[in-house]
Parts: sequence; structure tokens; C-alpha cells
Amino acid sequence: MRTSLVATAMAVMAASGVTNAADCDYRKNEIDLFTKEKLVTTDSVDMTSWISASFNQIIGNRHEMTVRAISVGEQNSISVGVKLSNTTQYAPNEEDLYHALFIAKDSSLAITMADQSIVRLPAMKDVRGTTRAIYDAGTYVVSTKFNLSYRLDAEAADALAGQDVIYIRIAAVGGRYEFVSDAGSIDFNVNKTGNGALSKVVSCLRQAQEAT
Amino acid sequence: MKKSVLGLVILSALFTTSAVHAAKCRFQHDSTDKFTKVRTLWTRWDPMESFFGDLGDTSMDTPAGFVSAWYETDEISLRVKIELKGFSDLEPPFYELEDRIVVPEGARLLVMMADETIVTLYSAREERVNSAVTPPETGMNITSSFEIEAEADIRYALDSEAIAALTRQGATNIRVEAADTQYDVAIHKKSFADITKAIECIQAAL
Repeated sequence: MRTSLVATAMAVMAASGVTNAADCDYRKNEIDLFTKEKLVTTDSVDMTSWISASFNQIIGNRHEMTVRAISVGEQNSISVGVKLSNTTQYAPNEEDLYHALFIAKDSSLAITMADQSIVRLPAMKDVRGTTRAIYDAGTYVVSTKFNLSYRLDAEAADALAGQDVIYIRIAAVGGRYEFVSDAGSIDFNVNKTGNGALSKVVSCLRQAQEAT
Repeated sequence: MKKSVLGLVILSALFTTSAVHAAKCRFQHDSTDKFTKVRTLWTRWDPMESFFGDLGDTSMDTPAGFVSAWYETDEISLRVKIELKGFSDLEPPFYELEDRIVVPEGARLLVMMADETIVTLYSAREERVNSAVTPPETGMNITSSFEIEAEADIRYALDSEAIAALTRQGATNIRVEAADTQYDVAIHKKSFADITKAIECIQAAL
């Protein structure tokens, strides 16, 4: 049984471009001192060069994204780090910065797979973007960033490990600086080079879990 | 006769131990209220890490921890101070500084003892702390950032069972459970006995 699980994991990894154990790097792979639970955090995969913001958002401005997979005992999650930037002629005040971006607990990370099926993961907590403004050459560059974990159940992990990702939609709130669309989301297209990134982190997470 | 000699030896050994501890005991507070006659005792904060090790590298992600013991109206508490420090090139907005550390009443402190048993304590009251910001230094050739600090002082009530467990042996690690996170501090070898010492200092002074 154990052999077949590992074989399945290896097959999934091969399908997602992860060829062997050496491809998996971990920020953390240890037993918690107090709870004795296994803690695994894969290294972040930087998807910045593989994504583009869709729906005409943030055109000409910067957007960055990293993903990693985390497990604490039986609880698995995908952690997404995003940084968005935009420019404005007007000096932002504290209220503008405060309302730039907010994501509520349980709001979804929707991931469209290559076969057009959609995997939805709920946010594990509320998060407000950390927003800053810098005056540069006559304009204000406003940047907001956040890191948020989305709960990953076994079914979603199977789906993500099994095929490529083509779109990512993060449900969010925030009317300022066009960080969030009128429909209440931040949307990204994922290009061919990067559409195996999520499969990779999920497969690496499973590999570490099965290695015990 | 033999018994009484043995008893004397044990008694003198106990006194010697207490005297050694008492000599090392440093209090930041030892006073009796003029009106209520209530005596309060508070030992000095002891850093749980080496000053030349972890503490120097303290950032928002790696908390520094300090421990002391407190006595008031027949109750001994363990006090744990968590310090977070970070830097930012840009001034953080006010709303980000609020509630940097929140430890609810009843939140757990897990203390891992030398034999890997865990002593669990519960916070006696809520602790809610904002971050403080120090602006960058200005002047010739000085480049620095905004320094963001938060310092929480959390009290954990000790019953006789907890006191017995904490004074029986040294502690190697602590975990402070907060509202939506936890702070782990690995205690430096030289400081393994600091929790024991703080409690014993209070006991010796009473």
C-alpha cells in the first residue's frame, strides 16, 4: 500500500514536471517540538514571470506572486503571496491605504485547471494588504502586498497535483487603485511555463508527508 | 546521634543552596504598599537566549524572550516578555501598528522541560500591544530605516503543582500562544535554569 502511494506520488510528480526528489526544496520539514506533529513548508515558487493580470487590471504596473504548500499535521494549505503596484497623481491618505485591499476569511481562491474544472480553496483567515506609497518622479507608486493561506483538502490536492493551472482568481475587497476588479477579485492568467508550479508544490508536500 | 548529624548536614546544604540562590537573586521590585500592607516582589528579567546569539538577530519573525517571577497577595506568577523587532524603509501607517501582539486571557504557555515533559500555564489576563516606531536617524552618511518594535509582558498564574514541575528541572523551550500565532523561544543552555531560579528567588525572599 505504502509502495503504491509513493508510486502514485512519483507518477503525479513526473506528470507535473517534478522529476525527482532533488527538485523538492523545503523551508521546513520537521517534527514540532511541542505537538509532535509533522510540519512541512515547501520553498516558495516565484510565479511572477509566469503570470499576467487579466481584465485590464494593473496594465503596465507590477504584480508579483509566490506560492508554497504547507502542512501542519493533517491540515494542508496553499500559501499565496501577492504584491500589486499602481500609480496615482494624488498623495494617498491613511484611509486610502487602509482600504486598498482586504480578503475575508473563507473567501475563495479559485483555480481553473487545464480541463476547465475549477478548484476552490477557502481563505484560512482575514488579511489586509500591507500598503505603502512612495513619491517618485511626480507620481505616487502605491504597492500592496499580502500572504494568505488557503485550506487544501485531499480532493483539492488531488486535483491540483494532477494537472496544470491556467487561471487564478483571488476573491477580495478594495476599490482603491484598481487592485481589485469591480467583480471583487484579483485575476491572473498563468502561462505555459508556469502552469505546473502549483502541481509541483502540492506534489512536493505529499512527498515529504509520505517520507515519514 | 548519626541521624541528627545527617539532618544537620541536609539542613545546612539546604540553607547553602538558598543562600547561593538568594545571592544571585536580583529584584526590580520589592516593596510593601503603605496602605494595604500588600508586599509585591518582582525578579529581574532574564534573557532566555544568549546575547551574542539569537537575541542579536531578533527580527519580527524571531522573537526575543525574557522571564521573571512576580509575587503579590500570596500568589506567584511567571512573567514572560516577548520582544519583536523589525525594520521598514517606509513609515508604516498607523493601522498596521495596532494590536501587533494579542494574547487572550487563558491563552497557553507551553514550557518544555529538560526531560521533554511539557508544563502548561494559562495567561491570567489579556495582553494587547501596539507596535512603536522609531524614525530613521538623520545626518551625514547615516542611512537607516524605521524601527518597529513591540513588547508584550504576559503573566501566567502558577499553582503549587506548576511550581513543583518548573523548579524540579530546567526548561529548554517555550511556546507563547497568541490570538492567531505563536512565539517559540529556544532557551540558551546557560539559561535553562532561569525559570527555576526566578521562582526560587521569590520563594526565598518570602
